[in-house]
Amino acid sequence: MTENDLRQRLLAVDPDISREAERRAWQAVRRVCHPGPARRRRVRRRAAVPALACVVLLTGGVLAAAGRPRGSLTRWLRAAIGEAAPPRARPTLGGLPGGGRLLVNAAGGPWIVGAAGRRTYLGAYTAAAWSPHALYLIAWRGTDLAALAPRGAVQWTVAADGPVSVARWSPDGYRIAYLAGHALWVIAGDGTGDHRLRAVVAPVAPAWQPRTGLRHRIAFVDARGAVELADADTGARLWRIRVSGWPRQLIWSPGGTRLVVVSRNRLSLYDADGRLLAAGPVARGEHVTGAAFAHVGLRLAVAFTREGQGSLGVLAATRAGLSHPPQVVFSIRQPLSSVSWSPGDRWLLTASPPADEWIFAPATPPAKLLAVGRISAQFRARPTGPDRFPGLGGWQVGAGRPGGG
Amino acid sequence: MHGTDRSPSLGRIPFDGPTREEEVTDRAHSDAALVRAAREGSEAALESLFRRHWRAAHRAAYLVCLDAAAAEDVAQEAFLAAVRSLDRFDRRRPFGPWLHRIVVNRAIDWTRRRTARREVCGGALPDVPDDPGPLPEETEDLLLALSELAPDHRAVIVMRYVHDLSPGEIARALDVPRGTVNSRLRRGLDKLSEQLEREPSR
Repeated sequence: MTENDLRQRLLAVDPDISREAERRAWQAVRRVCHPGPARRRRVRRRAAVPALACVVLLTGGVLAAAGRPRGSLTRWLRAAIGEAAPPRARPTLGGLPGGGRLLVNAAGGPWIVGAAGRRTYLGAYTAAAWSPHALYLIAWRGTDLAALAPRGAVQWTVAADGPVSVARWSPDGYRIAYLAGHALWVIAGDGTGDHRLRAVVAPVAPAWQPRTGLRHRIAFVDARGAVELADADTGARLWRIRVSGWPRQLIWSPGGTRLVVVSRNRLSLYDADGRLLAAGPVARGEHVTGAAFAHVGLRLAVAFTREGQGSLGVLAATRAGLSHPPQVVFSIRQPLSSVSWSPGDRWLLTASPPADEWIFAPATPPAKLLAVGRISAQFRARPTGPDRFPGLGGWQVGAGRPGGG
Repeated sequence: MHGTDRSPSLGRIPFDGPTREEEVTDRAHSDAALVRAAREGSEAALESLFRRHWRAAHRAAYLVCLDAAAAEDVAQEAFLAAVRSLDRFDRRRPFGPWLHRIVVNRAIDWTRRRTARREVCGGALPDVPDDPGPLPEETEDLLLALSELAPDHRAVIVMRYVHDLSPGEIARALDVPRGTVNSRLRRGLDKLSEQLEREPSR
C-alpha cells in the first residue's frame, strides 16, 4: 500500500453518516456562542440529575452489592443521595432523556411515548412494532394484523390464518413477517402478497437481515430450535445452523454483517453466512434477559440477571468475536429484563419488572441513572385494566426529526 | 456573480448544505475573514467556519478515537474550545491546522482516559471501531488495522495523511520532538501495512 493509497483510504472514512452529528454539534456551538439577547448567560452542561437520578460511580465497573440497602433502585438512590437531595421518586415518566419516540407494549395495548413524555394510546392491540423509519406501526390482536399511523389511524388490516403472536417490519419497509399460529408468514408493507414462508416455526420473533439490497432475507428459529436464514420472497433456504440452547432472541447488527443468537445461558455471534464467530456461556448462574444492538455500530447491550441482581453491559461484536467481559454500565440488586438504545445511541433503557421500574442510563459509564417508577400504572388503558408489566417495543427517532440522541 | 458592493455579512448557509452559489460565496471569504467576523459576533461567519471545518475535524477525531459518539463529542468540544480562544488566535496563521491540533490532542486524551478506565474496570471493550455500516470492507479493514495502533501513532498518521501536515508541524502541534514524530510515523505505517496484509477483506 502506497502512502497515497493510505491517504485516499483515510479520507474515504466518513463517520457522519446521517449528518446528525453535524446538526447536533452546530446547535451546541450556536447555543454557547450565540445564546441570544434574552438568554445571554453562561451556558453550562446540563446537569442531568433529576430528582430521582444519582451519580453512580463505576470505577470498578460494577457496583458492589454488599453494603447497599436491599430493595429497589429508587430506595437505594434515595439512600445514596441522602437527605440533602430531594427524596422524591419520579412517579411519572417525563421526557425521554435520549429524545425520540418509545413504543411501549402494555397489557391493554401499545402506547407511544414522545420525547417530551406525551403518551399516545394506539388501541386494544396485543402489541405493535415500528416500521423502519417509525412512520407506521404493525399491530396485532387475535387473528388481526393492522398497519397503523403513529396516532393510531388504521392504514390496512388483514385476517391472519391463526392468532398472531409477533410481527416485524423489514428494514426497507417493503415486507412484514409475522407469526400466525405456528407458521411464519410474510406480507408486503401495503398489506398485499400475504404468503406462508414456513408451516411450523418456534415462537421467537423473526429478524430481518439489514442491508441486503433488493433481497428480503429473514432469520427465524425453526421447530427444532435451529436458526435458518431464508429468502422471504422465494422461500429458499440460504443457510441453517444448529445452536446450543434454545434461541430466545435473534438480533442482526445494523450493517447486517453479524447475527447474535441469544439463549438463556449463551450468546452466539455469527457472520452473515452463518459462520460461528464466537460463542460462550455467560457466567455460571447468570442469565441473559435481553439484548440489543446500537442503531449504529457493533455495540451490543446485554441485560444479565444473576441471583436477583441485574447488570447491564455493552459488548463489542467485532470480527474477532465478542469482547468479554462486557463493559458494565451499571449493576443493581434487582433483576433486569429487556433493553433498548435511544436514537443516537447515547442512552440505554432497561426495565426491572419486579420493581415496576424503568432505568435510563448513559451508554458510557460512569452512568447517571434515571429511574422511573409505577410503570404499569402509567400504561394502563383502563383503571381496572390488567397490570402486566409493559414491554419495550423499540425506541425510534422522533417524528420528522431524525436522530435525537 | 457577486458584486464588490455586496454586503460583507455572509449569507446563512441552509442546514441541508450550501447551494453552489452559496458555496462560492462562502469560499470567497478566507478563514481569516471569517475568524475576524466571528470575533465581532457574526453568527453567520461562525457557522461558515463550522461548516467548513467540521467534517475534517470529526473525521480526525473518529480516526483517533475509533468511536463515533466520542468523536462527535471530541470534535464538538474542540471546536468550542477554538471558538472560545478566537480572541487569542493569531489570524495570520491558518485556522484549520490550529483546530485540528486541538482536535487530535483531545482525541488522544480521550483515548488515554478510556484506556485507563478499562484497566481500572479489569478489561472491557477493546479499541475497535464502530461498524461503519455502508462503508466498503476495505475501509472497515483499515479501521480495524488502525485500532491495533497506539493512539499516539494513530494521531501522527491522521495529521500526516489526513491534514497533510509536515513532521515538523506535527511535532509542534503535539509538543514532541520531530524525531519522535518520524519514528511514530514509521512504526505506525509498518504496523498498518502488516495488519492490512494479514486481514484481507472477506
